Amino acid sequence: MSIPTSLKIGLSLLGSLLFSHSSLAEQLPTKLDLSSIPATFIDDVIVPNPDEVFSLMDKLPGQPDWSSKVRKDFAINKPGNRTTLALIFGTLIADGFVAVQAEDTEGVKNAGREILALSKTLGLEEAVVPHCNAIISACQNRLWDDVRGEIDQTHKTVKETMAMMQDEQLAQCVSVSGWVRGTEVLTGLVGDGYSPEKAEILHQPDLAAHFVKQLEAMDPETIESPAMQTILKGLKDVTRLMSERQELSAQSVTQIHEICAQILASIRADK
Amino acid sequence: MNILKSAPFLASLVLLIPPSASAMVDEAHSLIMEVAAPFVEEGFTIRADYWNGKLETGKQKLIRHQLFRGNEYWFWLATSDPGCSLKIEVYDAEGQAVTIERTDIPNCAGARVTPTKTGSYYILVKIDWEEASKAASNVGWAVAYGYR
Repeated sequence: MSIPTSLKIGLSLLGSLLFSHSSLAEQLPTKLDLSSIPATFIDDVIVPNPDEVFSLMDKLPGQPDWSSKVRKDFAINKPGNRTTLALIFGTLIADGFVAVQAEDTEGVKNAGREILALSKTLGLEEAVVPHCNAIISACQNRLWDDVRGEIDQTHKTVKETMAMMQDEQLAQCVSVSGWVRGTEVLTGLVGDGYSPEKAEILHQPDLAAHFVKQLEAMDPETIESPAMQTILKGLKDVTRLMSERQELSAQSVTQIHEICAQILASIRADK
Repeated sequence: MNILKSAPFLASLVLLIPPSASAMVDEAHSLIMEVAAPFVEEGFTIRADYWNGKLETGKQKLIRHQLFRGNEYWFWLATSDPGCSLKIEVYDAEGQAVTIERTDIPNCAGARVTPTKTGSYYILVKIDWEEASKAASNVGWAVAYGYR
């Protein structure tokens, strides 16, 4: 039986629509000389969200005790300084992810409430309220993937809104402190049941170096505050420790945990 | 991953996009979200954040990004400019290509990666006009990724 011409044309068109570019993809090299790349770098760095990293712990042997890492004490010193508020905001985003990982409804709600309160002080309420409502609704229904997606969207909205308000440095602070809080939790869990496989998750020296570079480029009056100096010094130490080897030693994991805890204490104590 | 199920629908969507010279990068991201929808059903989380901008046809851009061993990733490059061919490749820290699977539909190309080491990886993107006679011009693009 012959295939009608119209059907042949249709199949051909569909085939070309679906696969017209498949051969072109082979034109990019299979080996790239990273010392002389014929391309311009994109400066924008997307920091992996805590869930992207935390979920790895659940894939490895040994059940991480997420509940023990959920933040209970939200008695935050409310500073007047916007930089510190932004730093606290970043830690709260990470706290939300930790509570989701523990499937702790109250923990998520607590983080959500604090995020909302801080967003008012930072002038971000209008942008953040819809996300907070969505987080609480998904949380009540225990739709944890939806909660994760909404927290990620909250972070993105906050960064974009800060950028629109000419507050790029504040947006950077949110990312830095969120990463520090996530790393503190992660190092705590890896330290609880050390294995080289778990420790490899912490091999993120380029990200740590990226944050150092961002902080060093900030206005002098911002970076010269005691809290920012503690963060900068701490991140330089973390960069060095994360660069040492692919699978960090138990000692390095402990050291990074202590540095992150120190950074977070200085943020929370800042006026 | 049954991307092919949705591909005819996506292809028809692409054909409906008017051939405007001034491509909007948000349209490129919207296209990625359409392409990524079936992957979400397969357990992928699509990041809200994404890279975008304008790229001169024939030129390449490189994105450095942290990946984790144990996760599986899809990166998608899209443009809303019809008539472009898109290329995306992911390289490890030694510059070795690590893409293990691709999707190629009009205006969107994807690369799947399962990192063997945790660390920085490099995503190379390039956009060309399919018709060689067309002059170089800036086209809007977006790159987004999902993981599971």
